[in-house]
Amino acid sequence: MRRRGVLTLSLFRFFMVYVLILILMIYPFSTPFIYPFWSILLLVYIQCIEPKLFHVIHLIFIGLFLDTMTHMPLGVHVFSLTACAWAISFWSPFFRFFGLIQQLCCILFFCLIYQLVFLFLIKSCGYSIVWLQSFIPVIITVCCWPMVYIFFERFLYFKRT
Amino acid sequence: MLEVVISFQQNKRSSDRSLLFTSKSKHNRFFVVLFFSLIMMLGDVKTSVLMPLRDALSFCFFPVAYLIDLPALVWKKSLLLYAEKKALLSDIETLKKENLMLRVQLQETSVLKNHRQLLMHLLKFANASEYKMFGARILNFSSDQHRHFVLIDRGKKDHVAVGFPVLDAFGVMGQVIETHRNYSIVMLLSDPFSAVPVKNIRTHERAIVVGNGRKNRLSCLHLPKTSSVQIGDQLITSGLGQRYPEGYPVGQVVSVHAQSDSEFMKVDIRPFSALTQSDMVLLLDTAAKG
Repeated sequence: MRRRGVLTLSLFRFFMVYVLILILMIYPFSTPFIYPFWSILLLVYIQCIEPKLFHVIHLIFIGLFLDTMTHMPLGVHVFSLTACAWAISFWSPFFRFFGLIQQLCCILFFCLIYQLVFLFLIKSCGYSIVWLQSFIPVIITVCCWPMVYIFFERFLYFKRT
Repeated sequence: MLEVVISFQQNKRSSDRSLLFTSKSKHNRFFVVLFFSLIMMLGDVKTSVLMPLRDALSFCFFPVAYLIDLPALVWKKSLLLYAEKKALLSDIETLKKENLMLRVQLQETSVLKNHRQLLMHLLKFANASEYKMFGARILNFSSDQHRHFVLIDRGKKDHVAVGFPVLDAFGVMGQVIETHRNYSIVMLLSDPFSAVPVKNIRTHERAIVVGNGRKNRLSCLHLPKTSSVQIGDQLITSGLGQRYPEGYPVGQVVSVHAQSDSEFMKVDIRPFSALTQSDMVLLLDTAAKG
């Protein structure tokens, strides 16, 4: 009974974090290129640390949400996120055992995949791209990982068996 | 240390097992989603088949968008609590709208004066007050750096239609490109996909002003090297294209460069409208007369 209660609480926390991430992803900052890829950080966490929570439906939901809120062609974010999640899936069993530097390198790699796929797609759709600005979020995402990891570990604690 | 090694081995073994038994279906899921998103992308870019889906998604995600604006909204409201509540607020609102209307009418007058002098009373310019105008509040700016959109609080229920020109107190701001029940999306002049037919007040040369992704600069296309355009020239809408009515201020020329590798000049324009600062705008119903 107690275990069930803990699980419900954890799922509620997960839902809260999910909503928070959705909000942060489209929060109107004054400089839109200085923000981390919250979606990638969440994706890395749930795929590598809490794989039981991961499902491809998350990718479709987050992707469509981003496409709608940023007025991009439907499917652009879904495609980029799925490509990134696919890359993460190869590393997910080993990620937890990596040191911090190795984890940061992995996240840099995942972010680069995401951003390159995304930029390629929007370029194909006729959008103009500022290359240098587009890669600032990648660096910021990598720098944010330790803090986000600590936050998730404290807030999204699931009893691991 | 030993525990970590053992757990790593176990994890590796389980992952090997998972690779043997479940990885194929796992990868297949990714491929299905990739294929599905590719189809959706093509459908959305090439056709308008997915407009109803986009409309439905916008409707579904509107609470989240509202939630995002909530902190800023609460902050503004809490500041206003110290003032004389509702009456004062409604007065301010009305005065703001009136002020905006008057400033736009003032622009029209000055533009018409210039026209009359320059064309020696031969041409009839569109009097914008002929059109029905109504105010709207800007709800949100697009957070996407590649597109320049704003969200306004007027939608289909207020009879807003795609193509309505949008003005602020200083000049043309953009046009409505998407309407939903309670809100609409306005594409700003600075959006890379925006284009406005304009003419120079001084020389009457026609050109097209396009967005280039920068919020405070626009570019002017198709001005040949022989053009007499100068820094400080003012551009107004020419009325061509049937989208923007004639005679509304668009911007001022801030730099002119002749390029050696092109037949045309590179002209930078500073828009008159405060694209990122305005919080109230006017919509122009070009179909209905006021």
